[in-house]
Amino acid sequence: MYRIVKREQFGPVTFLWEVEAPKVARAARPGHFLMVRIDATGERIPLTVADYDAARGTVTVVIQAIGKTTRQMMALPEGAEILDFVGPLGLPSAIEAPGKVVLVGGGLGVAPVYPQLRGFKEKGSTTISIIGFRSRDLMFWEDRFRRYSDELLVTTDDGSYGMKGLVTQALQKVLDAHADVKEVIAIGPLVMMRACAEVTRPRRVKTLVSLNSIMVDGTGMCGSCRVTIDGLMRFACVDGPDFDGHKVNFDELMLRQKRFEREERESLERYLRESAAVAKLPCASSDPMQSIAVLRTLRDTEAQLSNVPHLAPVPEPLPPPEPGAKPVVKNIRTIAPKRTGMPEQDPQVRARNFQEVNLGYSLDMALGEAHRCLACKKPRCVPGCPVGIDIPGFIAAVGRRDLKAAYRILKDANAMPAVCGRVCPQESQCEATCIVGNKLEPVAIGRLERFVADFAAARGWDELPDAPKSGRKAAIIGSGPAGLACAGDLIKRGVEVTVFEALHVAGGVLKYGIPEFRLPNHIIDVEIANLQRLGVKFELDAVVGKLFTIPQLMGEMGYDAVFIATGAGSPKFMNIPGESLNGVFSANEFLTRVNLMRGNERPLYDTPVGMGRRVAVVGAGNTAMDAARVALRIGAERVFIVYRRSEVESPARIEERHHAKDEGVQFLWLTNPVRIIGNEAGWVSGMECTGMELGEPDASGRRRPIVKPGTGTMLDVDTVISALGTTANPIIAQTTPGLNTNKWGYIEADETSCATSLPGVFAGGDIVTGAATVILAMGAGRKAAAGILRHLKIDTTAPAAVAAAS
Amino acid sequence: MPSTCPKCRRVVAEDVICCAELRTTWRCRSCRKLSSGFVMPYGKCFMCGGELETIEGHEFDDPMKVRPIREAVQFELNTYHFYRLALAKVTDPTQRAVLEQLYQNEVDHLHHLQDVYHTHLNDEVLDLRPDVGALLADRLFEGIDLADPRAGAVGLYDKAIAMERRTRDHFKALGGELPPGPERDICLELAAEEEEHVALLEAEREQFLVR
Repeated sequence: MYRIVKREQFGPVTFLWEVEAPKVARAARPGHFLMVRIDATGERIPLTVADYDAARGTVTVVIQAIGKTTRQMMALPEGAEILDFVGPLGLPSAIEAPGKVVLVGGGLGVAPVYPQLRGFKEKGSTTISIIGFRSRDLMFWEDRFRRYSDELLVTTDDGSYGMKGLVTQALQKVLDAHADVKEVIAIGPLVMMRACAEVTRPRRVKTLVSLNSIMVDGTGMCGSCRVTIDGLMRFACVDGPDFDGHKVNFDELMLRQKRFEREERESLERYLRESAAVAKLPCASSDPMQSIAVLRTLRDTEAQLSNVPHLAPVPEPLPPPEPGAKPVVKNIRTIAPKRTGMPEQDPQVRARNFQEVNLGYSLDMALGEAHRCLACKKPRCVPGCPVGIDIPGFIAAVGRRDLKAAYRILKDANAMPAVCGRVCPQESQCEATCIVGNKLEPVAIGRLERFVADFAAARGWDELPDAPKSGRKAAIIGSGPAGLACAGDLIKRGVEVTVFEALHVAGGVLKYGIPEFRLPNHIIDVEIANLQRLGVKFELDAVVGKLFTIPQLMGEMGYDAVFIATGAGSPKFMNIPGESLNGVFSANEFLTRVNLMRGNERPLYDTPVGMGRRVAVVGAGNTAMDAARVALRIGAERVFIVYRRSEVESPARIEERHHAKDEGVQFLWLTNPVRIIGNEAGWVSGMECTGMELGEPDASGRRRPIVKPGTGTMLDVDTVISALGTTANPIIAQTTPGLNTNKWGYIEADETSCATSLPGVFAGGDIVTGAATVILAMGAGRKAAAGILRHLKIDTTAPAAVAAAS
Repeated sequence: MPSTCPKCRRVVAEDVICCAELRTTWRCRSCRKLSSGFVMPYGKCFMCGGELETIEGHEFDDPMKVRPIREAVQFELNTYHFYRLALAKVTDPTQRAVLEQLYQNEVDHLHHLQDVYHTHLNDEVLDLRPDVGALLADRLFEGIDLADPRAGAVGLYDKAIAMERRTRDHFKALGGELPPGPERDICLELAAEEEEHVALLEAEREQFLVR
């Protein structure tokens, strides 16, 4: 929690917070911004750093109460605490060699200009400041600006103070008077920044504008803050927020700022209505702190209730094997030809809820399926598994009804069998190579894995050993599958482990990317809770590369090794016209708004989703299926999957494709989007597509899609979700000198040890391989743990602390 | 901006199964076990733990002129005929269940030779002359107590395993004699194949015994 140590009201809707956040204060620089969430159900609000004091450990922000959340923020008194204060984010402003600089702040923009003013002054620049407000009563920080400005002009729209008029008029005057101005920094409303850029354009004066106001997440993972700079798409949170004002497409930006306008207006109206009603209640407290505390406790409790790890009821003890069973010949001809079906929710019902689709095997089902395994002496399934689970061993144990042994075998190779049993693409891994599958349906290895893991979780079979301490410390960046697997192996060897997670919950892609109907959160929470009980520390809201860097981790922070497991994370777009329209999302953004921020549960949760009624999801991987099925569940009337290849090339799990079809998702195979059409208000009104066909096989036998002439169609949609995979998030590489990356920005790491070009720094998972599977990421995490242990000279030959009950 | 193809693990520019309709052939660098399928395994050779390599497959003008291939076909035919004869003789349901599977295995092995080495056998080859059949029928069941359902089934397994081992050993030995080259490689591939057959039968036999 972060305490508001000082609060100051500047006008009816503008106020200042000074927040106690020592780590952020130490790292903050002019130009940085923050993400703030006031409580468990709140949305993430971007705020620009207005000031920071490393000695006091505080960061100052100035906020304008325009929507529901910012009004709630305005109601918080001095001394109140907020839940998340994430940052500093974005690239700091480049404050370079001395010269004459004009700093222009309009309205709230005055606050973020201030640290830049101070920075330029401290560097020896000549500073001319222009600050503008609508009227005198909204004015703030004139004194601060006067302290660092060689010349200060104050403007008010109504002439109630200073010069009457807009900041652009003042800027014009300054430029007329000073021919030697080297640079202009303009921060404020988009319309003001555009006007400033137009004033300076004829004079060719370098003009930087700050696009903080369009920020959504700040970690580069959602792509919502995309802007067009000189015709190219950029993400404001990782490439900015400062950009050349002469190259910014402001028209597009102004339309994009309206993308959640309707939801925000509804939220505000409801909030005002309910606040007024509450104020009239006889029991309403006059103490603002008490009222806020009560309300927030209620909201937090409600939110937490839905996050409590849920354990399946413990079934009756296992029955003993049937006595005197007849000897039978077991081979491919005598086993059941079809695998035991997975019980699932009815498609009509489940398409409207977020409960898990697959219900899991019963004991009888599991025993029946286990009997289909031929227990090959030279099993082909094992090399089909990326982490080499002893599959026949665990299935034989299931067949013997020794589920504890089955669980131990699974856990020996796989840190999270309950997760992998649900999301692994077994049909292209272990089940693809199962010898039964040559003739019949392969053994349902994934379903058995899930059964055993759920059975164990319900009984708490994970042992939590007290490993002897090695005295060594490791930092893990990212709490997705690779990070968690690595953490588990290191802590069992006595390494002190801290996992740094950029978001406010641990779990990474397992939490924000995979919907609960496929992977319930409690499954991940159980694994995280186990790691915590083993001693792994989780630091949430910690964006490594921003809050601190890898050199700092390895230096002043005293870590002996670092494992980078950030995932790929950055979304891909199609590079077709219309992608900046409102109603175009990356799958990352869309899924995060629902899975992580629970936007589908408004008004309890504050984050808007902004989806329309007719949705096209472009792509056909698992993420595309997830996005399509989430869209159905939150009320889309029609959902299309649009894919430029045929169904057999779809990389989604077969089961997910079937589920999506059963639920009503419509598939448009061999269809390629060429343009997204928008209406005058900047919203998606359709998507133009062209038919494709697979061309002749090339030398390798692969067929590539080619345009089928005369097959153009218009798809009637108002929402387009781009699910085309991800690219490398650049934040770590940008801030880690000497860390080698390949031409795509992925980190170069040794295949065996996961060692990078920097001694003591390891990397694995999607940030090394590109987008891959959960189990591969876990495998990389375990390889990295082994590499780190060797690097730390910790004996890996002695038995590790027990992974599961023996 | 790469992803990894879930089937062939190639780095590709987009999320796609790039080789959706292709069948891949791979071989262990160590034991030379040859496999093919729609998905390349992640790990090492399931037989010996060796490294895997994808290969294009074999091309021959006339595969039956290649000694190890010709011999492999002959061995498989011998075993195939053995099970056919046995099936005609055995009435016990348990023993028949064993034999039917052993028979089917041999059909599969012949198909495997066809797939990998392009050995196309015509139907006459698969039929045994009646006089030869009669001659073989009695000799092949020597030492197997077919009167006892359980012991008879175990005896059938033992016989089948012994035949597979003999074939494996033959190709191992032949491979050891031949100079490095394609014929030697084929011997080692065939020996590895027989090794897998042995393992499969041993597993089945073991499971039969514990029930």
